Amino acid sequence: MAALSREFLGSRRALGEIHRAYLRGSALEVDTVDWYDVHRRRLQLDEVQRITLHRELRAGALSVSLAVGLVLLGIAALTLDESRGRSEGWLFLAILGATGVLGALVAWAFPDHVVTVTAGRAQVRIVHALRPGRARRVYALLRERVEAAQAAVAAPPPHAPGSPGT
Amino acid sequence: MTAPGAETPFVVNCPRCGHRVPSGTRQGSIRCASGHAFEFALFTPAPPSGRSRPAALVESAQTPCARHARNAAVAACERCGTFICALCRVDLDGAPVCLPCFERAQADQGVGQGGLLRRDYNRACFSVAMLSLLVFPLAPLGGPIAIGLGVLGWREDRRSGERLHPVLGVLGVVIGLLAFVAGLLVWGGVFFRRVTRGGPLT
Repeated sequence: MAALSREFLGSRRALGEIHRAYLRGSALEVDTVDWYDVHRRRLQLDEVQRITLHRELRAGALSVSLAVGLVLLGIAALTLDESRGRSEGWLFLAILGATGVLGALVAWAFPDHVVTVTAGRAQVRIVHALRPGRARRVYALLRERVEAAQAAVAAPPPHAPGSPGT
Repeated sequence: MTAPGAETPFVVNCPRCGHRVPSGTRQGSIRCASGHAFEFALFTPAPPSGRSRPAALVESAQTPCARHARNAAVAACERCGTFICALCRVDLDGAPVCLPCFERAQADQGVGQGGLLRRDYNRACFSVAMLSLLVFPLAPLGGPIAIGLGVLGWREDRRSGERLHPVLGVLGVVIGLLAFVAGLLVWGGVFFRRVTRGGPLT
């Protein structure tokens, strides 16, 4: 039997790992890509207790970009002072440093949108950077699918013809 | 927001700091005590079906069953990872699974044919092919390995019914083949010159 097709919802990058979330049938699938191994976990939508959507600052990216940018700008300033304008090396460092500071500003101005799906025994986080509309669509889609899945579970099973209940 | 003193039947945890925030509705926007704003939707999953009695009581340092807190876990479900006790354990194709997973596997056999762990042979194929190209003297060895990995990836994709980086697999096989042929020509040329002229191998 062919597998159901699945829809990509988003991903989250951790140190050395990428978590990709998909919607397949009435389940949420999370593929954890670790080098050449793909570990798959599945969360059934009828177990979901809570879905949230919030904004979160990329603190790691922001601090690293800002620190590297400021250090490079500092070295550029020192180089400029030492060479007294005879060498253009400071310009290269200044451009790199400015790029780092600009990256930090972008990370500060455009925080990630995070969809968190929580069930009794698992939690899935789907992070959307620079795409708030996509995050909202994923949030709405998941809400709708979870409602449908839990309504299907709660519905009483149909009685067979001729059974005492009919 | 809920008015002070009003009944707040729902509680939602802030996804950033974990603060418990009372809410009067099942869904909407809210702000926690730390000032984190978020949207939420709450659901009430159906309680797990089935009844059981305690089998092996949990002793200290033993992991309890996720469903029966008084029972010691004897395995972890192969599909969802939940700790299961002897009462909950069901064997599916030789692997221990919990009852909900067993029922789901029977109900929707199309779901989960890919298994729990897959190896991305197509990506490995591409990496080995590129490595063969970069470290050219190894091409006669790396080329066939890349092609073999590409074939494995193709077979795995067919078996699971789900394609994982097929483009990388095709590219890897083509590059591996080219690297292999080019490597053979170079090494063949070196040996040919060595045999015919008796010169050094460089």
